[in-house]
Amino acid sequence: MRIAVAGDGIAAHLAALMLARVASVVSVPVGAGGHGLGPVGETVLGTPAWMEGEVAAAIGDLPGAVPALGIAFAGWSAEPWFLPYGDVGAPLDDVPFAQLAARVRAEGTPVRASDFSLAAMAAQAGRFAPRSADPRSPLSTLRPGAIYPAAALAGRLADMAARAGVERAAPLAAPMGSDDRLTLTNGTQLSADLFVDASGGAAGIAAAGWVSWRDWLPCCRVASRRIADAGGPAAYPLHAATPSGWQATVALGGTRVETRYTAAGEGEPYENGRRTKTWTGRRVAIGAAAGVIEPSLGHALQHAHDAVLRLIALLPAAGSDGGAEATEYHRLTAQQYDRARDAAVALWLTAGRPAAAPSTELARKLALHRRRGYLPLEDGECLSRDEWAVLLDGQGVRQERPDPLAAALPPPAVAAHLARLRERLVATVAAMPPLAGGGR
Amino acid sequence: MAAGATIGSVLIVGGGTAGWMTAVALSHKLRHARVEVTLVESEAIGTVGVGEATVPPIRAFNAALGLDEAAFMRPTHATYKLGIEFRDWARRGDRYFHPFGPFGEPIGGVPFHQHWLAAGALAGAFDDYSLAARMAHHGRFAAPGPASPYGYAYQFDAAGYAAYLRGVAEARGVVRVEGRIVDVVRGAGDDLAAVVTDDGRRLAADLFVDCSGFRGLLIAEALGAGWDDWRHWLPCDRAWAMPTERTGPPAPYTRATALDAGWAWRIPLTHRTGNGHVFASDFLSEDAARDSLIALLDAPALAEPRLLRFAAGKRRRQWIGNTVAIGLSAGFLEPLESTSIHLAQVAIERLLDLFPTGDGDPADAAEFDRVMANEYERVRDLIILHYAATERDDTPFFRHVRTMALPDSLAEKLALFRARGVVMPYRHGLFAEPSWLAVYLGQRVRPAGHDPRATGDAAVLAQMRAAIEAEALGMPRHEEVLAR
Ligand SMILES: Cc1cc2nc3c(=O)[nH]c(=O)nc-3n(C[C@H](O)[C@H](O)[C@H](O)COP(=O)(O)OP(=O)(O)OC[C@H]3O[C@@H](n4cnc5c(N)ncnc54)[C@H](O)[C@@H]3O)c2cc1C
Repeated sequence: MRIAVAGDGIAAHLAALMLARVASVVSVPVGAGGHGLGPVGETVLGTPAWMEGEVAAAIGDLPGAVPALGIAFAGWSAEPWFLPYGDVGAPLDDVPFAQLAARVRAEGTPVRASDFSLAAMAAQAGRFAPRSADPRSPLSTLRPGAIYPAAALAGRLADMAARAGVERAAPLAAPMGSDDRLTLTNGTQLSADLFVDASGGAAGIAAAGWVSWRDWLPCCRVASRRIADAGGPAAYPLHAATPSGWQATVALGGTRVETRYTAAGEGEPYENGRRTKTWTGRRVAIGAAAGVIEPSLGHALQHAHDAVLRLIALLPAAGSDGGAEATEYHRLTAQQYDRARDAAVALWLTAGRPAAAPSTELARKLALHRRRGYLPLEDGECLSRDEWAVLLDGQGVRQERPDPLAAALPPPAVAAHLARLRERLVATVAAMPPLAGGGR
Repeated sequence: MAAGATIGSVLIVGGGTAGWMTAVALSHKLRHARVEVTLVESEAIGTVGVGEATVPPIRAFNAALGLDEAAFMRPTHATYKLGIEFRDWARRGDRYFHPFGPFGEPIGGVPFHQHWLAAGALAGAFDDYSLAARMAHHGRFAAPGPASPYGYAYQFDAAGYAAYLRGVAEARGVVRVEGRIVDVVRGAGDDLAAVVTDDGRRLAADLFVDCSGFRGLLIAEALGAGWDDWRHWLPCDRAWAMPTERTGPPAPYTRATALDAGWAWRIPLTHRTGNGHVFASDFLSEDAARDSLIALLDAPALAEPRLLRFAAGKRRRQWIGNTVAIGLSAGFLEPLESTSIHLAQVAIERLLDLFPTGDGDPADAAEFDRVMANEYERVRDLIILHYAATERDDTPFFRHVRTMALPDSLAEKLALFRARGVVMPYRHGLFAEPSWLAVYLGQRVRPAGHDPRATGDAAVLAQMRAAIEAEALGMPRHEEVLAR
């Protein structure tokens, strides 16, 4: 099988690299710039799920990359908060930690999720250690991610793709038309069994309609810049709400990257939304060509990666017209984007910002959470129940009633449980080495 | 109840398997809360008395409630169960196994079954790649370790299980009341205030759990829950049940043999064998069904055959006001995949997730209904698949089921598998990919194409098969493990 992958940045090299293991791949530069991941700016976040994939392992140490212990949020609610990459607390008698915390808080004792998360505590202390495989070690509660300088990651993936045998074609001369071939600048026509749009859509391969999510997520301009900074790296990006949107700040050590997302301002335009079909005929969209969600929760790279894995698992069988494969690919891809959108919308909405009424799924989640702290999970969801709990808790959404099972636990047992957890985590953080180059 | 109030009392109506499971679970999970749990049942009415084969999640349920395996297996005459053997389903003479565990291992990142499909006839039987299936075939059993590629469940005496759970529940403070409920007292709105027994006692509670069996005394008779009727997909509506003496050592699996207008179960326990014939009364008379069951028996009967009547479907609403339906009162799917007790277990778990805060918010009930509908429908689809994907056209019953229109949710799953051999994933639901593969392939659904990456290397497959066979044969015999 021959697959043409169009695009210039991370998404294209990632797709080409992954597909080269299963097909003969030719990569086609588009010259549109960017990374095919939507408005990520000069850095890209690798989530814990991405880190568990084979590509992340093969990338290994990338110069300039920094480990990530989570994402810090500021200005979205009364207090700053931290979405940790790792466990938050531990259940007691099968009652989830978030319910224990809600109960203790309802009794008047302030509890912050980040005081019970090793990742959050280490991030704040500027310390870092890799995850331990020993379940008895508190370090096993970490699930670190990574912050990559985008250009370096693209370069590394391009090298890896070349070594994996990806052929490089001449650049695309014009967006793909209705014929199933690409016209290149050297005058040749390129045919393939599949055409993968990893260009953010500029290649014209992904041509289905676009559902705009502007009514939910109004930002539409991104501007990213590097600034020299004498400070050391920080093992987390800071996502701060601004009057007209939000800003991601990443300290890489020696440089700082600031990426601003605004509803009306300077920078590259983008539009949150997704395609009504992400695979039609021989044309498959991945990354921003399939859907765009500004990375307030940092899933852009993971979504592109998951889409390629999905495509590989659904490569059309010999003699198939690909119809069944395309339908399933789109169903799962759309599901993942829609649920990730809901998470981004939840952040926006709970910050008290104007947005359209949430989707049925999000409305249900918010209502049940508000009432009693219960969080139903849907198919395709990218946040775990614990992550949802931290997000909503951080945003100051308080459940109206404690969970009855949590409320029934004897107060001394709950207090002792929390004290024990806290004590172990404090001791563990104290023994962790500083993040190379020092904390922020 | 007033806002901010909490549930102080729960009345479980019914003392069958579902009622006592609920009683044990609530008494354990609410042990710190000051909640009185009472169970009312009527010996005169009795229980359904069947329900002997289970699925692996029951172990997590027992463990979470602190039930000890050895203490529960002995009084219930339990055996271990590694899966279900299906005979005569796609064609007469066919056999396949639905194991509690995966088939093979991925090769080069490509799912095992894709290689099996690519290898064609060279690969041998799909079951040969399931450790659980091979263990079952050889009558072996050993408790799996954390990394073992199989799980297990139990086959037990239904009355024994309910009695065992009753002992545990009573020891944990559940009060049992004997009495036949003859009246229901309504409270405000959709709430119930109390039930009244034949001797005039009034049993009030804040929360009612309807475990009254098929009739749905509270959820249907009192509250009119509505019914999602699935008989057009699952026409079986009767069963004859009849225990026989134990013949050889008990097999570590259940058997389901397709007959002319339904199928027969065989569930081996330590002291006897459970047998039954599930059939569609539109296609076979009760007398003829009983005779065909008796003709199948290979050992002396221990009791007269007993007839059970049922219908496939579920209550449209399973939680109304302060009443939650769990067990047969909530819905029924024929026991082809041994799922009924499991669905009661899931309902108990969801009730605990959404345990009423006391002010009876309908959002809790709506969420419970939504997640339970999902669970029922996904189980239903796998059961329908056994009928929909058959090549049998030798009886009017099979001609009917092989040509009936399917629920959309199954039609789309089947279309994807037929095209490319891919199982649709979902987050919530009992049956995961290996189960769907077992039934699709066991029912002879052959995808038009497979993963183009699959090599189907016959030598690699042969090696895998041999390793699985050797591992199975290295395990102790099931009866030896039971005797320990
Ligand atoms: C043929 C057949 C085979 C089955 N095989 C399996 C299987 O292999 N695996 C599996 O998981 N499930 C199986 N099931 C389902 C399984 O039997 C039930 O899920 C399980 O027994 C739970 O039943 P229950 O407790 O809901 O109802 P029941 O056992 O019917 O209990 C109802 C209770 O309510 C009480 N009650 C009713 N009315 C009143 C009243 N007016 N006053 C007081 N009390 C009252 C009764 O006395 C009884 O205690 C099978 C079912 C059938 C019909």
